[in-house]
Amino acid sequence: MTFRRINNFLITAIVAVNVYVIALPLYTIANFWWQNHAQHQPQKLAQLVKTLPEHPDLAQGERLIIPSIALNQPVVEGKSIYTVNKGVWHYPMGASPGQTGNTVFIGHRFTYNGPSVFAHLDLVKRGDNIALIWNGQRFSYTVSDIKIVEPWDTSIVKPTTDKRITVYTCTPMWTSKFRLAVIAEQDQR
Amino acid sequence: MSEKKKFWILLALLLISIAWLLVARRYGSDNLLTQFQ
Repeated sequence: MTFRRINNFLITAIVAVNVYVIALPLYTIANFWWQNHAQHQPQKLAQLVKTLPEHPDLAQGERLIIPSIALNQPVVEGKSIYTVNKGVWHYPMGASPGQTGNTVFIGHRFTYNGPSVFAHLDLVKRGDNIALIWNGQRFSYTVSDIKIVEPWDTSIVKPTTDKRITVYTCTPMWTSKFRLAVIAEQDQR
Repeated sequence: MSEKKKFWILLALLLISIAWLLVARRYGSDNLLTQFQ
C-alpha cells in the first residue's frame, strides 16, 4: 500500500517535470500566435502607443513597447548582469532615453531561467515603431538598422553621438551563437 | 510486476527527468552573458 502511494507520487512528479520541459518552449510560440491572431495585439498596441503616457494602465514605471511583435514589457534596472534574467534589462553603462547616446536594452530570446522577452525580436523590420515610457514621458523611435554580430562584439553597446536605442538578444532561437541587435533612432518631435 | 519493482523503475525515470530538466536549463537557454564575462 505504501509503495503504491509513493509510486503514484513519482508518476505525478515525472509527468510534471516532463510537461514543464516540453511545454515552456511551446508556450512561447503559442502565446505569440494567440497575441497576434486572436488578440490582435499589434494593432491594439499601435493604437495604445498614441495615447501614451497618459494611458492609466501604463503611466507608471518604465516600459518598452514594440507593437509589431506585440511586445509590451516593463524595463528592469540593475547593475548586476543577472538582472537580465528578470526581463528587459536597461544596460547601466549605456545612456538613458532622451539623452544623447546609445540606450541599450538586453533580454533573453529563450530561457528556462526567467522570461523570454525577445523571443520574436527577429520579426522586427526596418521602419517599425518602438515606444518607450520613461519617467512619465513617451519616447518614440523608428528602427533604422538590424545587425547580427558575434557574441563577443561589444560595438553594439558602444556610446554614440545620436539619440538611439539598441535592443539585442541571442540568435538563432534556442542558441547563443550570435547576437541580434535592433537599432532605432529617436523620432524628431 | 510488484509495487517494489515499479518503485525502482519510477525512481530511475524521475532521476532521468530531473537530469533532462537540468540539461534543458543549462543548454536549452540562451547565454546572453558571454559579452560581459
